[in-house]
This record gives sequence, structure tokens and C-alpha cells, in this order.
Amino acid sequence: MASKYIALPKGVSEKDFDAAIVKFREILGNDSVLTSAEQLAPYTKTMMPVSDAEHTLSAALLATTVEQIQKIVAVCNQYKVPIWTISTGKNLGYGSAAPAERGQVVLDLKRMNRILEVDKDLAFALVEPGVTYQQLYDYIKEHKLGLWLSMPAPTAIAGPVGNTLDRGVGYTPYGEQFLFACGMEVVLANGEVLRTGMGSMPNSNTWQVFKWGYGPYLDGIFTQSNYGIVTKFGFWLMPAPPAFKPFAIQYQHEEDIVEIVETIRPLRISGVIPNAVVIAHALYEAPVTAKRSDYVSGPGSIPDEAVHRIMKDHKLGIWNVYAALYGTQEQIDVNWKIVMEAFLRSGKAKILTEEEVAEDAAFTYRAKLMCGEMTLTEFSLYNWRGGGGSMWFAPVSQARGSETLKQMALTKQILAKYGLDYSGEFIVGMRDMHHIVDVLYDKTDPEQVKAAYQCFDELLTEFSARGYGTYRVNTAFMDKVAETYGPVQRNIHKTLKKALDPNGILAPGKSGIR
Amino acid sequence: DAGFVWKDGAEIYAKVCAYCHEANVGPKILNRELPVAYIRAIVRSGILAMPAFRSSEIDDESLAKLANFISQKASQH
Repeated sequence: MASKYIALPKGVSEKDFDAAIVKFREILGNDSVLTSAEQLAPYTKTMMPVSDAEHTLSAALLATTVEQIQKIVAVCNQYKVPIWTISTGKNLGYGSAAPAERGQVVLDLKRMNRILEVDKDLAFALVEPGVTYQQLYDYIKEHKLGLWLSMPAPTAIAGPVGNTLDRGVGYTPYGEQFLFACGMEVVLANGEVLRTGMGSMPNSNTWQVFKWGYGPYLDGIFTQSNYGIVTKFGFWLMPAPPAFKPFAIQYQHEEDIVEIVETIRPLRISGVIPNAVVIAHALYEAPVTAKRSDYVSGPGSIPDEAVHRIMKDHKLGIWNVYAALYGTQEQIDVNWKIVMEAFLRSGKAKILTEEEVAEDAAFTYRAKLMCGEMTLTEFSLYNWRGGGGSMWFAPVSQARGSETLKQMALTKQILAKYGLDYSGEFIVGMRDMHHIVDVLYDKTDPEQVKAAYQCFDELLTEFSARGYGTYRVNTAFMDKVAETYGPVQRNIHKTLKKALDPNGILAPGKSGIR
Repeated sequence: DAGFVWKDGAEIYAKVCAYCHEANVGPKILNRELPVAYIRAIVRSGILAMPAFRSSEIDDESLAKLANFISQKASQH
């Protein structure tokens, strides 16, 4: 007999699931417990090269209060129902809103979306999981708070809680999102509510101003993990500077990445360039204005010759550095001189100021990302091949020129083996790089789906064999990446899991933790 | 002390759809008088490069307003 559910949680009988659903409806009301195929359809769209059936949920619960979540985990413990928590659920390229394992119930916190506090003087925010960057942006503007957001490229439709909990990045001086997190509220699997840092202290007013509190610092164990459900989240905001100067620097040869990185690192570490700089390959920026089909047809990765034509036609370098200066005009003038001297030394760089490229679509969206303005222009990446296939391959690299060239060449070589293109960028921390490669393929083409899966698997295998680890990955490859970090770390993760969630109800499979 | 709710179709269009559909990422959808049912179906299931949007993001009532806004004639915008 066909089940009335589109999937069932692993190891849970339909009878037990029925009973759990009845209780979920008592807690949330009928309208906030979704079980029909039609209601659940939006949760099942992923960009991964696996069957959507592998990540089909059994139900979605739309909770709006901490008390509801406490009651939900009690029911989950009783019937051993696993829940996959999402905030805004726009984790595109990393699994989107779908659970890691078939049959999990999605706890969807999008409607829990109150902005609880934004402090103008201390420059911090306290928000619930469903708050989007757009919502916060509008609030800050409306109340004239003079604060800037730092967001990933899906800006408007993504949100600070979900993004930071997966340790995402932005492009302003506050780009390393988790570094600027301050204070969390977490519902634990046993239903208790933990506030981290100073938040544990009755009557404290320092929850969002001092991170560590007293004793072991716990916030980190609730990121990229399944040890609790974050229901409130504090983070620091950057005061809007009096002046902002975004600029681009173009280079013509792939090997120039060595010089670029060697030039940027000291500027970045010393704070002359304060933001999360991007070094984007031509194929990462090209989709904003170029069509792949205008340059190449048939199978195989795009030849270098075609890439050079794209660069010429669309005024791109093979490497396109986007960075910015912030502060008073005097501060910017001083630092601009230092930046110009550093980049002009070898004669290879072409420096472009805002005045020169204001009309350029790629520059425009980059400038917006570097000053906390909403834009979804980078989604044009998904049009490069089209067909809805995309996985982020994101190895960590030293901010050392020779390393970035090595990683780039290896990535490009493996992608080419499977007929895929190198659409990559380096997001520059101070000492690290998030080497971000969009593995783009046509999900409607079964051959490309197979190739993309094998390609991604090989990328992970080859990179880890050379000691290169991945900072974040889609739900289809979480176990594989967890393995690359070795058994000792994995055991600790498991030990913590058993202690905090003995029934394994919280997102089993997240980061390979069960 | 309630959470955020959408005002009308124009607001949703401006704060979600327009970032792609007015920026050369997705196709133009305004002034094409696209059928309401089609718009609703695409929003909910996503299509190819376009992500899906859940009822928790755009509730059914708001989606109806959005679909009406997008499908109406140019003169009515």
C-alpha cells in the first residue's frame, strides 16, 4: 500500500510517524505541518548530481517560537523522528533546503523572523533564524542606523543565521561571518534552552558585546553541526564609513595569480585592504554578460582560446581582483597610494577605478557586495551551463601565490577530465583563501550528472591526498569530507553527539555526524 | 511583536524576483501577462537555474498577490 507520506524517516514506522504528526499538529496547528507532495515540492529542489529522492523530506514543520521547538524535540525524542533544521533555506550549491538524509522532517524556521534588536551605538544585531538580509537591510535603512551588512552573494533571500551557522562568508571587512558572531540561543535535544557567552547570565546586557563568557567557549560547536537548534543569534555590524572606494585589478595570465596573492597578502594582513578581497577567474565573472553557447558548443570543457575571446569581448582579465577601501577620504587616499604602488610595481596589473568601470555589470555587483547592498547578479553563474546543476567545491588554501596556482591548476585539470569548466575564485582572508569553485553542469543531462558526481568525488579525493581540506560541502558529500579530517576528530564529534543528542534526532548526517 | 509579513505583490516582486528578473539573470516576466497558475507553479517548484520558494518564504496568499501583480497588464503596474 502506498504511504500517505512522500517519504518516511529512517527506522520510523508509518504508525509512529502518524502519531508524531498528530502531536506536531497539536503544537503548531494544521497549517504549519506540511505533509502533502505539493506542499513539500519547494523543499526538494536541489542542485546536486544525485536523485532528488535521496534527499526527499517526510514533512516540514513551520515553528515560530522557542516553546514550540522545545515541544517538537520532545515529540522527536519520543518517536525517534530526525529533524533537519533550516533558517532561510537558501543553501544553494550546498544542498538547498533539503535534508541530508531521505525521510528527515525539515524544521523550517523561516517564519520565526523577528529582528529583536539592532543597537546603533554598539553596532550589533540580535535576530531570529528566519530574518533575511533584505529584511535587516530595510530595517536599518528605515531606522537610519548607519550600519552595514556583510552577506554572501545570495544577499536578499539568504539570512545571517543560516549563513553563519554554515560558516559562510561575505565581502566587506566583516566578511568572515562567524568571526563577528556574538551570542547564540540554542534549543538542545533535551529541550533545554542554552544561551552562550554572556547570555547565560541573568540580567546581563553584554550578550552581544563580549563573545567568550566564562569557561569553555561553545558557539563553535553549534556551527556546521547538529548539536542544537539555534533560535537567536547575535552578531556585530560594521558602522557605515564616511567614504568607500571599490576598485578592480585585472591580470592577463593564469600564472599571474602568484604575483596577485603575493601582492595582496601583506596589504590584507596589515589592514591596508580590510575587506574579504576576491580574485575571480574570467569564467566566474563572464556569465554576468557572456553566454557560453556563443563561444563553444558540443561536449568538453571550454578551450583557453575561447576564454581569451570572452576576456576581450567582455573586458575581463583572466584574473579579476575586486577589493575596496573604507574610512575617511584622507584614510582612503593614503591607502590608495600604497595599493597602487604595490600593484603597479611589475607592470602586469591593470587597475580600474569606479569612475572607469561604473557601467560594468560585473564590477557593479561586486561593488554592491563589498558595501552590503542587495544584489543577486552572481546567480548568473547558474546560466553558464544552465539546467540547474551546481556544487561548490571549496578547498582551503594558504594565502601564498605558489599554493593558489597549484590548486587552480589541479582543479582545472580534474574538471577538464569530465568536460567541465573552471569557474573559480579565491576569497582572501588574511592568511587563508577560500578557493571557491562552482562545479556547474546541466542537471537535465544524465551523462553530465554522472560526470559531475564523479568529478566532485575526484576533486575531494585528490585534494585531500595533498593535504587540502574543504571548508564546507553539499549534503551528498558530507560523509566523504568528514572522512578526510581523520578518525580522531570524527570520534570526538560522535562523542559529543551522543552526549548531547542520545536519540540522534537532530539532523543526523550533518557534517558526517550521527 | 509579530514577525515580518509581505505587504503586497509589488513588494515581493521588488525584493525577491526583480534582483534576477530585472538584472539579466532570469528572463523578463513583467508585462508578459503570464498566467497566474504558471507563475505560482514555477515559484513553488523552481525550474532549472531558478530556485524554489517555500510557503514559509512566500505564503500562499502572498504568492497569489505576487502572481496577480506579475500577470497583470503593463498599464496596471
